[in-house]
Amino acid sequence: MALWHRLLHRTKDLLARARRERDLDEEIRFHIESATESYRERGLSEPEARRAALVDFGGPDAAKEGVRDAWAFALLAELATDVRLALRGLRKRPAYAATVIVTVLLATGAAGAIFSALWAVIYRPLPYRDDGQLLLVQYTQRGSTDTLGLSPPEVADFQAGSRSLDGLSEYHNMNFTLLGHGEPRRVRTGVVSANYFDLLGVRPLLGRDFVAGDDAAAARPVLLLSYRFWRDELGGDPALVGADFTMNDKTHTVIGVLPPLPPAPDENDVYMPVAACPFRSGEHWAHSRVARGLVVVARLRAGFDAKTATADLELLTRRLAKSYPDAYPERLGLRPRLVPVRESMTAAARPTLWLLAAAALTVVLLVCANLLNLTLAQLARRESELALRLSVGASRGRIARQLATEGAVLALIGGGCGMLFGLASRSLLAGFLVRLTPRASEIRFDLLTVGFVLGLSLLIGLAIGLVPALRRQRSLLAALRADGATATVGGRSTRTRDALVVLQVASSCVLLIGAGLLLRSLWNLERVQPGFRHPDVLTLAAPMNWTKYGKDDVRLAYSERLLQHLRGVPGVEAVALADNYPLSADGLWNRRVAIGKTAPDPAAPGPTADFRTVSPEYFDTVGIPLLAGRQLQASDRDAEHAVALINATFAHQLFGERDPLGQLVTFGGGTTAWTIVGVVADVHQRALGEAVQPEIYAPIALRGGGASTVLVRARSAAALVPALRAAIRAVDPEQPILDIRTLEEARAASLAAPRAVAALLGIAATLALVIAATGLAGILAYSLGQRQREFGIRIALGSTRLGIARLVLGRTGGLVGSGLVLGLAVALFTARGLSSMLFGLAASDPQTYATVVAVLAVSATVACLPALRRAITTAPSLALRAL
Amino acid sequence: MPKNPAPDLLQGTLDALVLKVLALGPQHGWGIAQRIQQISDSELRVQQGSLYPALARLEANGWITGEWGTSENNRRARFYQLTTAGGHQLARETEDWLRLSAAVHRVLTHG
Repeated sequence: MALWHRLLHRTKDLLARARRERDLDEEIRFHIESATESYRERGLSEPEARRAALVDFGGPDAAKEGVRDAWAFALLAELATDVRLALRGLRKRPAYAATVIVTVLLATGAAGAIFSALWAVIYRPLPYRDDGQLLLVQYTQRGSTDTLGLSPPEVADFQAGSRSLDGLSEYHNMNFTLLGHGEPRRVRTGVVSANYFDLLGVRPLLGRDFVAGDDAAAARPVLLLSYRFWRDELGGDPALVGADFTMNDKTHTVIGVLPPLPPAPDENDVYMPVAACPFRSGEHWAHSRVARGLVVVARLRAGFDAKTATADLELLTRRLAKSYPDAYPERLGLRPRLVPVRESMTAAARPTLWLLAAAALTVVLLVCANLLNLTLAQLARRESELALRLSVGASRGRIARQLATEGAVLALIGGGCGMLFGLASRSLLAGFLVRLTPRASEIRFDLLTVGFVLGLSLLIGLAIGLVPALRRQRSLLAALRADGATATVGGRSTRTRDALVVLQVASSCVLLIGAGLLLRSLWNLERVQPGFRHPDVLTLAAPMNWTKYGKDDVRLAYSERLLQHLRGVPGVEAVALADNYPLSADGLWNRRVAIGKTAPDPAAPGPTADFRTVSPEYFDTVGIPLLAGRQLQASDRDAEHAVALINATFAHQLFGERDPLGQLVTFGGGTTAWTIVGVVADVHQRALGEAVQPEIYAPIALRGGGASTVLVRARSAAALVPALRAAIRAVDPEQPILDIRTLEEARAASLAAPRAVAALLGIAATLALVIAATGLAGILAYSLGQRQREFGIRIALGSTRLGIARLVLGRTGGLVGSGLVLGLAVALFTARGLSSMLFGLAASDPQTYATVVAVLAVSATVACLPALRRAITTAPSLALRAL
Repeated sequence: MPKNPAPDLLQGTLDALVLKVLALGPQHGWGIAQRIQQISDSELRVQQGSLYPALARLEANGWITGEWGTSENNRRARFYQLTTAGGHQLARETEDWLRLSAAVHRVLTHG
């Protein structure tokens, strides 16, 4: 068991062994020389005497072997005894043992789970070849945080013209229907260049990868299945390689199955080459330089770094801009950007992970301090027992080793249980992190984590086992010298324990403040009114097939038919189409905007607004009140007199006190001047914690005729889903329908991350508080118990109970106070790191800090009540009798 | 020169003898060997090499302790000393041995 123990001994042994060998040598030499001398005294010559002595002795080597055997055996026997004694001792003190095991369990389990998350998300390399060299190639635009992908011609140009990138590969994803082998399935399809997986260094599990030939225009369409889809939906049948499926009216042959991969850039069911995607190979997209929707992955060529590569791409972009000025308008300010793939997958999760790691570390420290204190107190209680053993001949080192073994045994048991706890919390943690990083699925409780948990428990065992053993000497002597009942009020023993109490209070303080700040931030977020009145509105993503409904009027007719059919479903109260539903930040168009007929210069700084596309029923369906003017109507389809609605923020920011109704606004890069006919209330379109952007709502009739999100208000919308699907299918059987959720669910989803973080930290803080409070109570009980006699004497000499109480409280107050001060200082310093996660309050929010101080003060007071009561009610006679 | 080969000593017996010798006073390894021979009227000659493993065992059990000191002729030697626990062990082993030998004696001299 006590591996560490054996290890420590092995090392000590190695150092001591050399010396012992030398000593043994010398001893035997002395013996043989003495024997030789005695023979010489009897008259033998030197060589004869020596030979006789050696004969008498037998073989010195054999003797040495025998001694070494005895040493080794003794060591093992001692270890076994140590462990046996440790276990026996622990059985006699079940409360202490249980406390240690439970606290080590919680601390190591939580630390283990968080370690496994940190490792999997941040440190473990991606399952791609040389993932440090993989980069995403994007464009940034001036005045917007949204990045753009590349257009198909650009991919080819970059591929040909860049010296620093080795192989470019494109990716985008769509939803298609998969037919054949069972019922039709809606599949998320990754459309990739033929070299995509080769670039990543991913080899198929079964079958073969795409080859360049698969990407040719006339090539037979092929398909690669993702591991998860193949296993879960298709039964994991290896015979599927070579099977045929129908997609988009074409026969696709399955050429292979991929190994399990992280769901990045998206979770896809199948993959097809670019040539097989009807949209991508369509005229519109394949040759458009401005359709920048492709995710591009590239590898850094050997010898280049990201900075050089970016400069290289900038040069290339400038050359392309000269050749195709229309595709690179100055106003957009397009600049290429390279992002390491790993960073793009983990950036969102890092702050949260580091926060959790800090919390776990604090809890571990707290637990260590608590256990140390507990053990010191235990030790003091056992002083007489240990002093006796010392007097009977046990060496100090031996006793120290025994104590260390006890600590190690306890900690290892705790660590073992902690692993089970960690295993359980792993899935919780992964479930929470999946929103922040696609690597969450890679979090595993593997051998490395097991090693970490064991190592941590050993470290804790070391701390609680060794430190008391190290400082034992003095107190033992004191125990032997006096009658064992001397109260040591000051001195080193109490100082250590006091320091530990201060540390515990400080750690709980820090954790409580962190949790408090996050909880209040969460509370603020929950109270934010999203702005819509009907949270039970159902949203469905019905991505419009732009090529199928090629022209505006065709699309408009389709949209109107769709709305009509949906309205016909019994129970439906209102239906609308929109580009997006509230609290969904996907694909928002944010543009420069100006009042008047002239389009503003997109390059120049100035006000921007989100450009929204909605059907006229949108506001009524979702429940956004009209503040001024009129609603959009179906008749507003005249492009000559384009009308739009704005939100209150737009009116306030761009018009101030002026009446916006009737005014014209134009967007940068656009030609239409929109007349404002109404103002609607603000809605949080982006995150609840973000300020509302100015928004302009244009009718779908003037914006292409269609939009991809369907919103339905009905009494029990969830129950109507099949009927709604049927209604949509009645208009177009091939219309994909995805992502069905209510607005309330969207709101909850946007709060999921802050909720989880606050919950986790809250648990840690509560744990810390409980541990610190019980630690304080325990230490107080012990130290006041030691001072019983002193109190008895004081009372006998006339001290009032109040006086005793003041004495006790004064001391406790001093400790707790120092702990609070330390904790507050540390918290103030470190809380700054939380600022990015806080909404509606500063990291130095005085209310939170004050509340935490109050909570800790109250807890500390409650914790010391039992001990205080006992101290006050000390009957002087009883205490004095103990003399 | 050694006399006729002495009876083989069992390991446990050797331990007891060493303890007894040390009960008479601290001694180094060579001295212990001499003493055993001396007290037993040269009946018992310890295989001197086996002495040291025995001493190591006894030390590990805590029955004797060893310390470096100076011998009679001013040379460095390791002196062993009986501990209290060792004293108890010696008493136990003496009693066991006497009982055992008495029993053997009874059997061998029966009839």
